[in-house]
Amino acid sequence: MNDREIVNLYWQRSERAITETEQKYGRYCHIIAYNILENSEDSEECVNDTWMSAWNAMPDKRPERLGPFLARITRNFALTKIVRRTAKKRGGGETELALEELDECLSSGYDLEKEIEDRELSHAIDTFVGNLPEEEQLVFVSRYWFVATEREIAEKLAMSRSGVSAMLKRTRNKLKTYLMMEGLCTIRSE
Amino acid sequence: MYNSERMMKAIGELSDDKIEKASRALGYQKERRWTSRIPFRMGRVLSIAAVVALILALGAVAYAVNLFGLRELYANPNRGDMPEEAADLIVSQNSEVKGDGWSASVQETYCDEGTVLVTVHVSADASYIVVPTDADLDSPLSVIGLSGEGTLREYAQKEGKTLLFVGANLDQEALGLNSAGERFENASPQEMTIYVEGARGSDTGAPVDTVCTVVAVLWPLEAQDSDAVVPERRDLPITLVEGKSTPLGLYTPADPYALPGFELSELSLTQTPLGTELRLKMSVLDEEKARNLLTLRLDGVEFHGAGTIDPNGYAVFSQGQGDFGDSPVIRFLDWDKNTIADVTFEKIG
Repeated sequence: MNDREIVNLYWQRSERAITETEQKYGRYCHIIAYNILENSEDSEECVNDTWMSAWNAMPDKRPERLGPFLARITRNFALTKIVRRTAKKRGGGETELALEELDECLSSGYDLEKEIEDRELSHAIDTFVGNLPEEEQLVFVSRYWFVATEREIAEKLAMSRSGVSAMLKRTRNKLKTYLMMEGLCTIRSE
Repeated sequence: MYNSERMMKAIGELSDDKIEKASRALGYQKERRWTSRIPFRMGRVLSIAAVVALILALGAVAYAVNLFGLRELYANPNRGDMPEEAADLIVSQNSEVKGDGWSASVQETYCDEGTVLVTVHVSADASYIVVPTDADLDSPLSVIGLSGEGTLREYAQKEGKTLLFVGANLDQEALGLNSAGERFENASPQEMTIYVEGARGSDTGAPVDTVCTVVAVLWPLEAQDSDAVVPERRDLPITLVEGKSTPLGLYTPADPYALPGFELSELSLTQTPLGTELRLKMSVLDEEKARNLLTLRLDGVEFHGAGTIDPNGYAVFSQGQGDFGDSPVIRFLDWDKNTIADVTFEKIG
């Protein structure tokens, strides 16, 4: 069943919409949640929350592409859940590592401008990523959107792990410079 | 909100085409094959370095000679080799189950207060290709240690064989596991070793007779949807013998309220055969403030096992290496890896 047909089922309030979504995107969303949460049960819960959220969003929404629409919901649920989970469970998981790496962009005495709106920051990062060479873009999105491990990225993109690591480091440095040039981050006031 | 969280959130708004491109490259966007509650993957720690990768043709086989023992699978560049005293505690097992054309057996186990390790060997007859449950029909051949172009589906079609997906689980409740993960290493298309590593929590009890559950899924290539495949679960009985742990000390915090949102109480440090284990009782007083905490570090010690805080309110970190001194200091870090508090502990026993 194609995305348009599934979306139509949502608009018709047919519960088959959930079944078809689960069939087509269940595994995809589970991987996204699992990459972030590293826990099967929490991931399953996140995926179920995604279906519920999609059910509530359609109508009025009519996403052109259901995959990214659902993926984004799952990712947001998973990130929210991992922040909440901090009261109970912490450790050197993949998400923490990814956050640490991202923080590296700004940790040398820089802060994101507190006044800028999240939308502005999102737009800037989207532009930055859009201008990256193809492979670099794939590596960056795989790591920081999907929270895939460097090892997995290396396997899937036929690169060496050290190559992935070095590329990510370069991209983070470029991102830091870009954010500074765009006036989106400033020197941290100590 | 911290810098890194804002960045992560902003990256979440990347355009659809960028997300789709990456998801295709990662092979994520495929339909669900079956419903399984087993963890996806812990990551392959052993590299394909064991494989002589010179042959480029589809399905060309190039395997290492040795099968994978628990000791070999434990080792990785971060934590190094398994300590000798732990390796001495590896127990050989002989529990076996047979399916239709395949069999699985628990090979070796290791257990201490903080960690459970199990290896399971799966072999199948020549009509099957044994693949990990974290793969799918369109995964590259490298997931089973083969070099060359093509997918598992294409390889199975070319060889006229059936894919047999396998995985293994431990009984998390019986063993008091806070987390568990598995990784997979093929020794040939018909032989695989599954390595399972579980991190035990604060309420582990005595060593137990338990089971390792093997999940096997036959996926005929002609099957169009998940209705056609049925996961088969078989329990392999195992008896775990817990390696001796030596208490290193019981400590109390100089200031129990130094960490905002928590009350800290006793800290126990124990020497297990795999290294130092830390257990710190920490009660949440303020959920909002408690959310600022990401992790903790014990000065002078690096932990290589899983680090979690379990539902009983204990932080449990295992497989530590290093020296923590007479008055251990625990550093608590927030999501930006800034220090929230340094707490010194005094020995009381």
